[in-house]
Amino acid sequence: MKRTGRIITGLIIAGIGVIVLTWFLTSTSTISEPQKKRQFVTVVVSDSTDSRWVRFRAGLEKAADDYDVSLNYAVTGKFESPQEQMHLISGAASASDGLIVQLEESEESEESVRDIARTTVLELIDLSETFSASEEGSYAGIGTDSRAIGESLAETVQNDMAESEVPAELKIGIISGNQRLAVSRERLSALTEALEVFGITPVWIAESAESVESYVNVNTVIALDNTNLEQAGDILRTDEEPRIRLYGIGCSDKTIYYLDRGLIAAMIVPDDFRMGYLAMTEVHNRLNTPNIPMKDRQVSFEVITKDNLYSKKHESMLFPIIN
Amino acid sequence: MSRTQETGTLSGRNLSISQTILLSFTVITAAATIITGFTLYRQFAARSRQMMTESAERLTERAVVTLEDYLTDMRQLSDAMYYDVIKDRDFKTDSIDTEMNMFYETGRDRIVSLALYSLTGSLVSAAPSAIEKPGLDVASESWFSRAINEVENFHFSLPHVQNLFDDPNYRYYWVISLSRAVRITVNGVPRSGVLLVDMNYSNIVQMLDDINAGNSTGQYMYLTDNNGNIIYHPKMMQISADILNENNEAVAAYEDGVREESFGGETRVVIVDTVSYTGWKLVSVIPSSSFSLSLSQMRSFLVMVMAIMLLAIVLINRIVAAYISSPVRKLDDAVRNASGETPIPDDSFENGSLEIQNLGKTLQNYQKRNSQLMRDIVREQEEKRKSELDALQSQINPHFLYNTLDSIVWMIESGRDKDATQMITQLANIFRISLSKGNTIIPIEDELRHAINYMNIQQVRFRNAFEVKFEADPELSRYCTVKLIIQPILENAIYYGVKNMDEDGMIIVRDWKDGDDIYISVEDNGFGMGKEEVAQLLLEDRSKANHHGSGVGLYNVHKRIQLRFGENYGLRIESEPDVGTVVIIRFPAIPYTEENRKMLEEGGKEKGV
Repeated sequence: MKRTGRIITGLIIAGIGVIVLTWFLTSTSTISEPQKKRQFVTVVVSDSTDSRWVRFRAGLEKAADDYDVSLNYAVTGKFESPQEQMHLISGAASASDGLIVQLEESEESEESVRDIARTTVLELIDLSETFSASEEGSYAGIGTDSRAIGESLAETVQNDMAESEVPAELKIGIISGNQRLAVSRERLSALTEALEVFGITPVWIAESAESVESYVNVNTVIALDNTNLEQAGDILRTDEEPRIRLYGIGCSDKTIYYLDRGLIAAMIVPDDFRMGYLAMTEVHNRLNTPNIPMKDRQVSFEVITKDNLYSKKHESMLFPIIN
Repeated sequence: MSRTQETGTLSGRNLSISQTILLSFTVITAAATIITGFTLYRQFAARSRQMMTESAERLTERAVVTLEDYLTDMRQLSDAMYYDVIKDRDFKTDSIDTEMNMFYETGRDRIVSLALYSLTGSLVSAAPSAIEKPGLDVASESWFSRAINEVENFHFSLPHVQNLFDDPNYRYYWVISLSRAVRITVNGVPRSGVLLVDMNYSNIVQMLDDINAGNSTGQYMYLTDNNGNIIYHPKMMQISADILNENNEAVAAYEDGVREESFGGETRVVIVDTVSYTGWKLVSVIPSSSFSLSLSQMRSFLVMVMAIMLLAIVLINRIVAAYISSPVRKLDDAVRNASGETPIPDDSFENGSLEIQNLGKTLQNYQKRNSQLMRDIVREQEEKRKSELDALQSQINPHFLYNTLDSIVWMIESGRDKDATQMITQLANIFRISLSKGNTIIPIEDELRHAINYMNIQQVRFRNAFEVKFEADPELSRYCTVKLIIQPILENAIYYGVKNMDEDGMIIVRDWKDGDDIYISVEDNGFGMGKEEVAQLLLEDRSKANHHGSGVGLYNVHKRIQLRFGENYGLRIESEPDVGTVVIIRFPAIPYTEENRKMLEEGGKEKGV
């Protein structure tokens, strides 16, 4: 009985000691504890300093701030080849918890993506419809619906001409942009197919058109990426008697300015802020709940004209408040 | 009661005093500690909540004052522009571009542009110098129409992207337009116009971002106009992109002060403070998670303290319980160890409390009285046993006397006076040994002499119809035996063994020692008995019901030996029809001394054997 009593007493004293020690260690470690390791997410896009990415980057930064994620926005130029891009992505993957990548798709890229997704949370942007989705949800894609964009462009061009004071036959030149990007190929394909529906066949299709002479045979030019839309705007700006209606896909301050000035008749603007925010959200969620599969997402786009440029709906999308 | 009974389960009612005290004290103090801790925590939580709310109120008030100062500056700038520059000029001849540029330069960190418009919306003057966008319809802008329609007031617009001047660097500015109606004199004729000050929206954003950056517990502030439209929100972009939501529409109906609201599945405290003149509402939001976050450290601290307190209480309770129960346990041990011969010692209770001392004395008295009672009972039992022995012994005398007198009568009737005289002499010897001064334990030699006398009488009676041999070991003559145990066996051997034999019967009496026991056998070559009859001889019922008399004496002898020496001793009978019978007496070998005799006389069979 006495021995049992001594054991109980000893256990009680030991219990008090453990609690006090735990408390002491906890309280001191709270003071000196290094900050919890932040998740590190790297973003790799082609020509990262291009103004096309301003809104996308704003979305990334807002999400990174909301989720307390450390964002590394890799500075890149235009990639010479998919292999060069994949080399950079592989390097970034080894040093990051998560990756957000604009992929230049190639035959090897799907295998490479699967390899990277085994060790790193991977979110792909502007992914083509043909790119194989991850069945187990180890990576996912986010972007706009390329086909819908192509169709919307064709419809806008057709309606503008139909409502014009001086309707004329549509003679369209298409600046397709970098066709190494599957998404660009899909947009072109969707646009030409939609124009076919209206009985229109493009007069020419070029990856880039760098002089006004190129536009001699057409009255409408459609640029399928922001860089070429800016370039086309630059060219047409010098035209003293504007005779060409310019359309395209863009989102930079310059293209908005051209739209505001009337150089661009209408412009498709993807909600890049939302795309950036949701891409980071998906990576963050996957990092915190690895068992939940990642899901592909689509973001919307708007057809912007000079008339609705300053509407309340479009203001915040076109002119993000970047503190 | 054993120790194992002392430590029972909680559900049982046999807990020790120490355990009961420990359990009771611990439960009571633990309950009190938990209730106190919980109450303290609730009070602390309420106080903490109140402090957080008051702190947020003060912060909101300061932010409102800062905002009001900023907006007052803007209004004063507009006033100065109007009253110092515009009001006294005739725009037919004068230009205000220089003054306007000067004002712009003065406030360029806070304003994006200054512009003066005529009633038709045409630009009169602007700073910085810029090209107006072609095709603008300024008169249709809300800031313009509000200024014209409410000429007495300043009008602050919602944040919007300025759409007035061409910037060849593709820059667009978020502004809040401060517009007012002014009087413009042209060629001496006063006309209406609108003075526009486009305030740099990023100033307000920066101002409120700085305040929000100071909150790490999830609190934040946002700004709405009087209709609930958001002017500033730390998550403005996320809300615009429909990624997040805010309860701003409800704010329009809120009065200034503190209130609770439910939004997004969470209850939160909101503090509303109106910015003077503009009607804007600065809203501080404290989500319930902020309160929890600030209390989590306190909660863990409190749990830690309560755990330590509980363990300390258990420890103290153990000591107190041991202190209180120690005298009781000591007394309990003493009572357990006490027996009839070992009384409860005084030191087992004399150091205890008054109650324990009283209890101890009482138990001690009871124990003494109990011991006395036990001794009395033992003595009474012994007396009872002795009287039983005497009763058994008394059964011999009439039996033997009857048989002997029967023999003497027979002799006298047959004229054998001499033999009768001798027989009476033998009888006298028998009675002398029977008396043995009242002793029950006698030496074996006396018992054998008694048996010889008896057989002498019987041989006279039966005219030496049988022979008797005594083969006694002289070494055993001075050992103790119960008296009158051989004679009843001889009597049975005669009457049921050899009396009616056609040929000469033989009875042999032997004694010997084997180990610690002494054996005396009476052997006859009479008719003998079957096994079943032998088995019945030493049973009490059988002996009482014996139809031809045998067995009464045997049972008496057997019972007397057992009562004196124990169940292991007594008679053993071996018999075979037409062969004979042997009755063997067994009893312990105890030397005949006065001390041993007294010991056996007093019934100390356990002591003697």
